[in-house]
Amino acid sequence: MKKRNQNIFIVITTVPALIFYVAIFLYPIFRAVTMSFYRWSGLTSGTEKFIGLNNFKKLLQDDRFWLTVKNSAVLMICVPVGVVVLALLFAAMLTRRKLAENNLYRTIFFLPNVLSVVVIAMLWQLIYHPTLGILNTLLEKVGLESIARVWLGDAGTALLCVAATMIWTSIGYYLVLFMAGIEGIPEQLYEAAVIDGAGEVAQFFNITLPLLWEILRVAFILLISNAFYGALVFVQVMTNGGPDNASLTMPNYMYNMAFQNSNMGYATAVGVAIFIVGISLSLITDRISKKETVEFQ
Amino acid sequence: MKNNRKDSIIKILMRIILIVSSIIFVFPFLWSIYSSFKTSREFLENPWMFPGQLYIQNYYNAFIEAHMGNYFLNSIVITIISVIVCLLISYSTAYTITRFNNVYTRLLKKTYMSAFMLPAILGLIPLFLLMHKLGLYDSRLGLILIDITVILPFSVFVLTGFMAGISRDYEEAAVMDGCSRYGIMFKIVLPLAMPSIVTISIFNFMGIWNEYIYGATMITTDAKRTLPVGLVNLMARQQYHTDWGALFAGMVIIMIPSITIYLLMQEKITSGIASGGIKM
Repeated sequence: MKKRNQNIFIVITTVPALIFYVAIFLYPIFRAVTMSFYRWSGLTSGTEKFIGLNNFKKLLQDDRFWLTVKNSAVLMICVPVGVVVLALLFAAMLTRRKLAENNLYRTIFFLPNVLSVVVIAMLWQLIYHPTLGILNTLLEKVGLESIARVWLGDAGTALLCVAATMIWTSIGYYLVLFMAGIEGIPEQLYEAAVIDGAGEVAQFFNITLPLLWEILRVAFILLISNAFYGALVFVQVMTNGGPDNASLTMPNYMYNMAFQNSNMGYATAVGVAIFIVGISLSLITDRISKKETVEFQ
Repeated sequence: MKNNRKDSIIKILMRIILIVSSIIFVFPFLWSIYSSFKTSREFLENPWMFPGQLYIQNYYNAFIEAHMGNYFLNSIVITIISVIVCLLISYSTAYTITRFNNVYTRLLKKTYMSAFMLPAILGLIPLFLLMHKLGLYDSRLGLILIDITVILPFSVFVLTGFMAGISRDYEEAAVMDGCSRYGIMFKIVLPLAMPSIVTISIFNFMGIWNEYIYGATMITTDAKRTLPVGLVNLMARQQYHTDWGALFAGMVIIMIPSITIYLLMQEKITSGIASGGIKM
C-alpha cells in the first residue's frame, strides 16, 4: 500500500513536466529529422512525398547554403575570439588592481545581458543607420568620413557589424565568469611571482591563463554554439540576411526557407545540417582544448 | 617610491581604458533614452543632439497608436504564467529526482540533461506544424506552453543541483510526525530551496520577457503579440512612415522591467553565473 502511494506520488510530481518536455521539445526535434526525407510545403497534410536523401543532395549543390556555412563560420571565429580576448583583458584589470569603482564597471559591462536580443539588435541597427545613427556622424566629426557608409547595407561590412554587436552583447557575461575564476586563484601564487621578479604581463601568462584554462574551454564551447544558433535573431532583426545574402547564416536560411519560401522539407534538411555542424563543433572544441589541467593545492 | 609611481601610472591607464569602454557600453542606452524624447523634426538633425524639450507625446504614441500598451500586457501575462507553471512542475520534478533514487528518476535526469546537447531551433518547424494541428497556432495559450518548455530543462537542472544539497533530517523528522509526502515537499523543503527558486525565477522571467523567435513564429494576430515581436514589427513599419520617436520610446518601454530587475537583483544574477555557469 505504501509502495503504491509512493509510485502515485512519483507519477504526479514528474509526469506533467515530462509531457511538456517530450511533446514540445523532444518530439519536434525527432520529427525534424524524419521530415528532412520528404518534399513538403508544410501545412496541407497528404502532400508530403518521400524523396529519401534528395534534400541533402540538393543541399550539397546549393551555393546559397555554402555561403551560409561560410557566414556562420565567420561568426563562430570572430565572436568567440573577440569576446574572450576583451573579457579576459577586462577581467584581469578588474581583479588584479583594486579600483574603488570596480563594481560599477562590472555592472555596466553586464547590462546588455539582461536585455532582449531584439532590443540590442534594433539599437545597433539604429546606431549603424546612415542618417539617423550616431556612428557615421561620429566618424565625420573626427575626420574619418571616408569610412562612413551604410554599414548594414554594405555586403563587405554587414556580417562584421552583426559580429561586433554580438561581441558587445556577450562580453559582460564572460567577464563575470572569468573574474570569479581569477578570484579563485590563491594570492600566494602571485606573491611568489612578485618575489621572483615576474612582471604583471608574465604573471598573466604564467599564472592566470593556465589556471583559468578549464573555464576558458567551457567559455569557448558556449560561445561557439551561441555564435552559431544565436545569430538567428541578431541577423533577422538587423539585416534579415541581406544585402544579397551577405549576412545570411545557416539558422536564418532554415528559418526563411520554412516561413518565407514555405519549403518545410528542405528547411528541415538545413536544420539537420545545423544540428550536425553544432554537435561536431562542440565535440571538436572539447577535444582540441583538452590538455593537462593545471591545479593548485 | 619608484614602484608607487609606476603603480599609479598603471592605475590611470587602466581607468582610461575602462572608462572609455564603459562609455561604449552605456552610451547606446542613454542615447536611446534621450532620443525617445525627440520630436520628428529633431530626428532629422544631428543624431547626437539632446532634445530641446521632453516630447512625451512619443510615449503616448508608442503605448496607444503603436499598441505597445497592449503588447506589454500580453508579455506580462504570458511571462508570469509561464514562470509560475514552470516553477511548479520543475520543482516537483527536481524534488522527486533528488529524493527517490531508482531507474526511472535516473533516466529522467538524463533525459533533461539531453536538452543541453540538442538545439531547440531544429524543432521549430515541426513545432509550428504541431501547434497548427492542435489548434494552438496564433494563440497565447500555445505560446505559454512553448515558453514553459523553453525554460524547463534549465530549471530542473538548477533545482536538482541545489536540492541534492539540502539535508534530509528535517524531512525524516516530519515523516515521524506523520506529515504526507506532499506536505513535506511544499511545507518543509520548499522554504529551504527558496534561494535557488528565486534565482531561476529571475532568469526565467528575463528569458521569457525577452523571448522573440517563438513569439514571432507562433503568433500572427497583432492583438496577441508580445513586446519584442511588436517592437520588431513597429521597426518594419517605420521604413514606410517615420515615427522614430515612438520607436525609441518602445525600446525604452521594453528595457525598463529588465533593467529594474537587474539593478535590484544584481548580486543574485552575477553570483548565479559565477557559481554555476548559468547560461542565459
